[in-house]
Amino acid sequence: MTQDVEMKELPAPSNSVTSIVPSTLQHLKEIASLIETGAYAKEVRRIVRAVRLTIALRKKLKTSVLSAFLNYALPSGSEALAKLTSYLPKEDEHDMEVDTATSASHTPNKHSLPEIEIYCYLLVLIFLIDQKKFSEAKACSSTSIARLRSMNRRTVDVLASRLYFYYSYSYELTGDLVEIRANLLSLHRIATLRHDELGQETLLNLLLRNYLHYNLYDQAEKLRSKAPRFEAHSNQQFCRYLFYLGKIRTIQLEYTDAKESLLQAARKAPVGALGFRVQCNKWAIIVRLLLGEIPERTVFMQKGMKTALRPYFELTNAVRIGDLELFRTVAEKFASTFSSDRTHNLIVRLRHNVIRTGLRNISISYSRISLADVAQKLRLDSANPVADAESIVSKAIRDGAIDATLDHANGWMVSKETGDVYSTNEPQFAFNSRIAFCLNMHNEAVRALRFPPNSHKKEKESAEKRRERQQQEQELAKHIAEEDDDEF
Amino acid sequence: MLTGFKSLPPLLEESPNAVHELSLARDIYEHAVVLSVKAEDQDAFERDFFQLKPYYTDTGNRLPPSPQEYPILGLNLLRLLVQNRIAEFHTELELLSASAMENPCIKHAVELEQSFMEGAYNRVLSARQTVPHETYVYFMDLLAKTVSVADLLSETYQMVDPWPCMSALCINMLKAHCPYGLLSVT
Repeated sequence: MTQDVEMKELPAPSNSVTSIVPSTLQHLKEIASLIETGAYAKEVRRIVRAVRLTIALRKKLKTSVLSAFLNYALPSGSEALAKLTSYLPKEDEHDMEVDTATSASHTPNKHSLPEIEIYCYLLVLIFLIDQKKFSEAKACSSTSIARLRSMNRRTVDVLASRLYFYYSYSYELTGDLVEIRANLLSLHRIATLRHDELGQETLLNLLLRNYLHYNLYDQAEKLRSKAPRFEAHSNQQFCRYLFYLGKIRTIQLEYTDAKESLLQAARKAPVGALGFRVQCNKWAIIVRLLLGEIPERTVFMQKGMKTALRPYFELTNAVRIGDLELFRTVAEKFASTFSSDRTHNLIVRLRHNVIRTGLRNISISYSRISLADVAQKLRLDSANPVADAESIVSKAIRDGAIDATLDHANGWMVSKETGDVYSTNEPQFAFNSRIAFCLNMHNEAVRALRFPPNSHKKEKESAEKRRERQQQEQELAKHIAEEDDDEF
Repeated sequence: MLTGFKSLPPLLEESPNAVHELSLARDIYEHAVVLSVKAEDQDAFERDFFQLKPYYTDTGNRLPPSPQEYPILGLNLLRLLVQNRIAEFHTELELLSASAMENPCIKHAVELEQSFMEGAYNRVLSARQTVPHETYVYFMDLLAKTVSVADLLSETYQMVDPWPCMSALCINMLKAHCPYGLLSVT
């Protein structure tokens, strides 16, 4: 279950293009000032950017840098500073860089902004997790969560949602997810009361993850269906939500819906989140198999997923041929993979599909075949294969999987002639559903565009003003042209 | 009396004789479940089972596992199968560990579901002889009833000519197990 980390790291490459390499501390200070302006101007987007920049710095964090930054950002003698420095591992004083001393001197910098404080918590937490100091990380995250509860500022929300994530992540790494479930639930309640939609989104996902970790699909579904839904704020969170939703639906046998959300999750996930996309694809493949579809070969040949999807590829092959024997050997061969992916129970469900596909193949190729042969071709191993085959065929006929009749007296299965598909409404339906899909995609793309705020007000500018402005612009242009001429 | 015990779910408070209280309560609910099966009352079974369930899921670290646990869980799976609540059946199944799956009681229910989905009804009907626990018989009879109705449906779907032979086949199987099936055929 590493997909989350990988998802986290993806904004990194886009931001690490800084030309020269000023010290990490310098970067951190810049980020802090970014947060500060964001907090004063109440611009959440600045803070989002700050978080993204931080992730880019993640690899470069060192104890010395961190403690220097803490000294710089937090008012000396404050409670938070004392607590945070206690989590950092002790190191020799002379390790510190020279500029740390200078920065410490101008600390009177009145920063007591809650945003900065929360940001420091976040930074230390990320650092501790990266250093694999999980028990400290747990303690640190718990204190930060306790501190967060008492705050109610919209500008903190972004930082808070990241903190929630690392809180849950640090507990997951030590395998104590169950401990924090009650806490997460109450945090979700608080976020709902404060209309903190990003926080709600994050916490809902964390809760779903928490439940699914213990296979509590029932509770997860109940929570999901009761929790308020709104337009997604963060793409990553939305992807995760879709993935969890797909998992729940698969378990509850709603394959069509499950397939839709799993494919959407795989498509929406950022390119860098390879682990996540592999997981999505695994589940999507199984769901499609359960639906009776055969995924295309290209699905398995996607870049970087070839080896991970190998077991599923062989499984698909077995289902496609409809060979029970082959299916059984594949399931046994990769049993450990399937059980670590927690898809073992789904694979067991597939057996029925294998039989169906085999039966369909038989019914297409033979116009009349004896039940004993059917049993032999499907490789049914039981005490009375003919009786088995008879009841299996009759069920398949009833479910509409094959178009045939049974002749009990002679022990035959008689297939009906299949008519020309193009004389039916079938192509029309298929065409219609594809058109609908394209239109939907177009609409969603339009909706996803981001428009600058207040751009619609410009439209209201009166005709007179516009004329005036145009005139001014023309004059300006003339001036510039003249100046250009002068220069030559 | 049970309401007076503070150590029971959902409070789960620590108390000196928590283990005794918990195991006592669990035994009571287990008997209630078995009793509801004997009384052939499906609603009561569902109620009692949900009362019992927290003792299996949430008290695992305090109580030694009950010998009755797997038979009762298997019974519940069977009930869901009989009531055709397949989605819930699979949700329950996900909660079970790999070792639980090996248990004959659970395995019985899982295999039944498989043959049920495949349509191998004759296997379902013959599974009655191999029930792992006496309480299972009631649900197996119910299951036979569901199966026979389903079979009749499938027969009506087919052309007229296999009708006599198929019905003969079915009645032969049904006679042994289930008088209801016979009634609806004639």
